[in-house]
Formats: sequence, structure tokens, C-alpha cells
Amino acid sequence: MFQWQVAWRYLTSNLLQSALLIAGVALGVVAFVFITALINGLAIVLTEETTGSIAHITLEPQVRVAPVLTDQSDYAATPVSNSQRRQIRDWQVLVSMIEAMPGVVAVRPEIDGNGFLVRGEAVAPVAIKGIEPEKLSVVAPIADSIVSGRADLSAGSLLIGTQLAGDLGLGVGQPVILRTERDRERLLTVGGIFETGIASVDERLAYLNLRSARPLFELPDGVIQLSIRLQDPADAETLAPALASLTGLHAVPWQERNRNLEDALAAQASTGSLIQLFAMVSIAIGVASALLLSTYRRRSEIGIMRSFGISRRFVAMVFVIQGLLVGLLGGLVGALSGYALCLWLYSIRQADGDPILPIAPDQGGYALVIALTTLCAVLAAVLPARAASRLDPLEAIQQ
Amino acid sequence: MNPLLQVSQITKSFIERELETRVLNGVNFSLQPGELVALLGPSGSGKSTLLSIVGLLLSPTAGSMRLLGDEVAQLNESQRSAYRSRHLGFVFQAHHLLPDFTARENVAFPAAAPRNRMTGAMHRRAAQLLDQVGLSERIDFRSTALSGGQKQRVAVARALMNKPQLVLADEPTGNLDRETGFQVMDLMKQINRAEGTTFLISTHDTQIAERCDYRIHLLDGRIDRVD
Repeated sequence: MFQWQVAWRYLTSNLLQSALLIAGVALGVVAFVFITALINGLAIVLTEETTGSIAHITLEPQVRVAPVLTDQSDYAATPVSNSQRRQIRDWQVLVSMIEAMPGVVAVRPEIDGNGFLVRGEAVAPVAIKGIEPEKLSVVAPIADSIVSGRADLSAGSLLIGTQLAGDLGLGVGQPVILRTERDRERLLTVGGIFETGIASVDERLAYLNLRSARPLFELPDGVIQLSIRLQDPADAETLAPALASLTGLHAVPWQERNRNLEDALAAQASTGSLIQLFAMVSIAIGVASALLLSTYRRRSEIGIMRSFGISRRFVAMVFVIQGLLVGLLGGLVGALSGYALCLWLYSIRQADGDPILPIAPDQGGYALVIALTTLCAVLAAVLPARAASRLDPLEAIQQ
Repeated sequence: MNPLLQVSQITKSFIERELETRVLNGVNFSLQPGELVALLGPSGSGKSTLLSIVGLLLSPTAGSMRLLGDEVAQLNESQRSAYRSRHLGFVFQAHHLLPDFTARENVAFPAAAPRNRMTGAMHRRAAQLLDQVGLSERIDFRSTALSGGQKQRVAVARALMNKPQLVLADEPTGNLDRETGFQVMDLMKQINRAEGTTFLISTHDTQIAERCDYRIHLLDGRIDRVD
């Protein structure tokens, strides 16, 4: 295509000027890539930190309602019934069924409740999780967080956090009384002390064997909830309705319990989009001004072309193609440089081994930025192209 | 024989700040195919304006103009472009070569651009035309590496690329020294004689005009005489 040859020749006629223009575009692309990789990296880190130690979906019994019939056979009101204990009775069947579902990593039946740990005159409120010992670490890596003792959840053993242990002056092997919300109590032994780094967990949570929890919470058969871990936490919102309809239970995805995180990520993404928009606008302005200057510099050439009878479309396309080439080259150079910058930043580590910035080099939106930059440069070239094509040949030649 | 160009009662006025300036005032003349004609006149006589109107770069205010039998005075922009591309060639006082292209590419440009491709046949014709104007050894030189006379020869070759019926030359020797000017003029005459291409050459140099078949003298926007 001759238009491409002419555009390329124009672009390469002044290598330094073209190189500077492409470098300017590339710089904008680097900023775009950096921001995208940083925001995506931050979202990944925050999501991983959040989902790394919680259930991705929680199945709970539906809120029981007591329907009241009117004389038109319609339900007039549905007051919540408090007269029956909310529990999942057929949990063994549900656990087997859910564990067989694709995307599900593990299902942990739990008896959750509140109580107090009493040691002498010291009393501390505690959130109890009664679980099967082999499923201790399927939701949060508690076994890996043990700092004292063992991850021992045999009958009569209790695992508590460091903060709680400190508050009560408890050590491994020491006895403590657990008094539950059902006003039942039992003498247990601290089998291990964990430290997750999450203050609320280390201060309030205690793990107990599921069997030990049954009499304490007066649940001989059922469990309070099923905690489910997924291969991809992002699937929780789509899987939850399917699980709800399959089990008849109320399914709560982790996102529902962490709306603040979602809101923060959305706000962060909006800020990022604004910066990306500025980068694109600066690229468009740079390309448009450089091509407008080129149009002005080549007025007599354009005039002579038009006097030959060369169409306005041909002239316009020469400038649009220049914009496209600048955008594409700038996009490619910028994307590569941006990737290199992200890799370098990712390689710089803090003392604990984490990167100094929560950047995700493979999440720089490279294809998007190249496509956007090319599109922006083409759009930016339209104005100079129009100006070039509308030059009066006679006026241009006479100058 | 039907005239190649028939100009009748052409008038051209420019209006600036509500002030009308009439540059051409009822110009009539015709050109037969194969003629080499000089358009003579002092500065401001309307030579360039008339040449621009004949070259379809400018529309007349009034009058008619038939080129190859077609009425062309009031064509729209795209029709005029197409007409220029197919039937007309231009040589300007300043060569206006494209500096980023070689002599051969400059010559082939008017043929390549409308078809959006540069073919081997175009390259060959460009080389042949450059040979004809005595630049066979400079065909792959950038236009910036050529002398003034050589550039104007390339411009003449470029004007002939699309085998136009009419070549319009606006002061083609104006920027050249006397000897080189004569060489370029002789070159156009040689092409006119060899190929029968019609030339209308605007000049104020009587010695250049003497080399043409006849001269149209323009004075104050009217044809003063033809000799």
C-alpha cells in the first residue's frame, strides 16, 4: 500500500523527532502499565490476604419463618421464629455432596458459638469453633501458625491465639475452664497457641474438637454452619446461589461479608482509571500536536500532491497511518519498558521477603494499553489529517 | 480540429474586506492539441490566476471553459481532482519536489498515489522520463541532492508521468539561471515536438516566450494581443 510507504517515509525522514515522539507516547504507556500493575497487584494482595484465612462461602440454616394465613389464603406476615434452634442436621450428606462439586477444595462443618475462658479469677470472652481435627487448616492455615505446642485437637484439647493466651497467662498444657453461652462448662487443656497476625483472631478465637463442642453447645447431631473453600475465591459469588438452591441453606459468599474491601478496591480502580485516562489524553495531545506541526511543515508538499489530483482521502490517510504507527510503536515500546519496570520493582524486596510494592508485573493490561494507545493515536491523528486534506493546493503551493 | 482547451469569457474576482479586485476580465482563447504556447505579461497581469483556473486549481467567477470537450468551469472539488490527475500536468516556479523521496519516486508519485500502489511499470516509466530529461544517472538520488536545474527537470518529468494532454507551467524558469532556464525550456519544447503534449507556459521572459509556437499577451486581466 503506497499510503503506508509514504507515511513510513515521513515518519523516518526525521528519526530524532519521531524517536522523541514515540518516546513520549511510550512514557505515557509506562505510566499506564505501572498504575495498572500496581492497582491489580494491590487488589490481588488484599484479596489474597482476606480470602486466605476465611471461608469463601458459608452455608447457614435459613432463617425460620412462621407464615400467617389470611382469609384470602395469602401470607399476611412472616415473623421470624425464635423457638427452634438453627442448625444443619444432615450435614454429613451435604459435606460429601459439596466436596464432590467442581471448584470446591474443602468443606468444614462447624459448631460456632460464644463463651468465656475462665482461669482463676481471670475471665475472657471467646469465640469457639468446634471442628473436625483433620480439617483444622482447610480454611485458615492454623497448623502453620502454631507458635507453641502442637496443632492438637484431640478430645479435651483447646487451641487459642497468642493474645488470648497472654491475657489469661496461659501456656501449653495448662488447664482452663470453657463456659459456653448454653451455660455448660468443661475443663480443657491448652494444646497449642497460634499467631495468625490478625488481632481479632489471636485475641478472641479458640478451636475445639467438634465432639467436645457438642455437649457444650447442646448440639448432639447438627452443626451451625458449613465453611467452604474454593479453588478460586472469585467464583464465590457465582457458586453461592447454586449451593443455596442445591442445599436449601442460606449461602453467603465472602464478598458479602467484606463489602468494605469491595468498595475500597472499586474506589482504587476508579482512581486508577482516572490516571489511565490522563495518560491516554496526554498521549493523544502529544500525537496530535506533533502531527499538526508536521502538517504545517509539509504544506507545500501536500499542496503539490493535491495539484496532481491526489485525493483528500489519500492525504488524510497518510497522516492517520502516521498516527497509527506512532501509537503502535509507542504502545509496544512502552508496554515492554513498563513490564521491565514492573519486574524490576517486583524484584526489590523488603526484609521479610515481600516486594516493596504490591505490584503484579503480569497484570499490566499490556494488550489493552497497546490497543488503547493505537486507537488514541489514530483518533488524535484525525484532526491533523483533516487539516492536511483540506489544504487549498493553490494556497499551499504559493507559500 | 476540436480545440483541446476553449476558454470563454472567464472572469475572476477576489473579494477581501468587502473590496472586490477583478484579476481576470472576460478572457477568451483556445489551444489546439500539440501546441506550445506562452502566456506573457507583467506581474499582476493575471497570468498565474489564469493558469490556476485552466489547471482546475481555482474556479472562475464567471465564464466557461471546455477541456477535451467537457465543460469544467464549475466541477466540484473531487471531480476537479480526478480531472487534474487524468489530463493535466503541472510545473511550478518552485520545483516542489518531495524531499523524502528519490527523483524516480517523485516522478512516479502522481501515478502511484491515485492507485495506492507503486508498480514496476511505474518505476520503469519514471526511469524512462528521467532519462528523457537527461537525469538517468540520478534517478535514485534524493531530490535534496539535486541542483536547481536538475530539480526542475525532475518536476518536468513528474508533470509528464500520467501522460497528460495539457501541461501547465507557471514561470518554470523563474528560479533558474538564464542558461539552465533555456535548457529546461528546450526540454519542454523537445517533449512537445516528440510526444505532441500541449504546453501552456506562463512567463515574463520574452526570450523564453520566443521559443514557443505563439504568445498570448495578458494585460490588466484581459488578452492584449496574440502573436
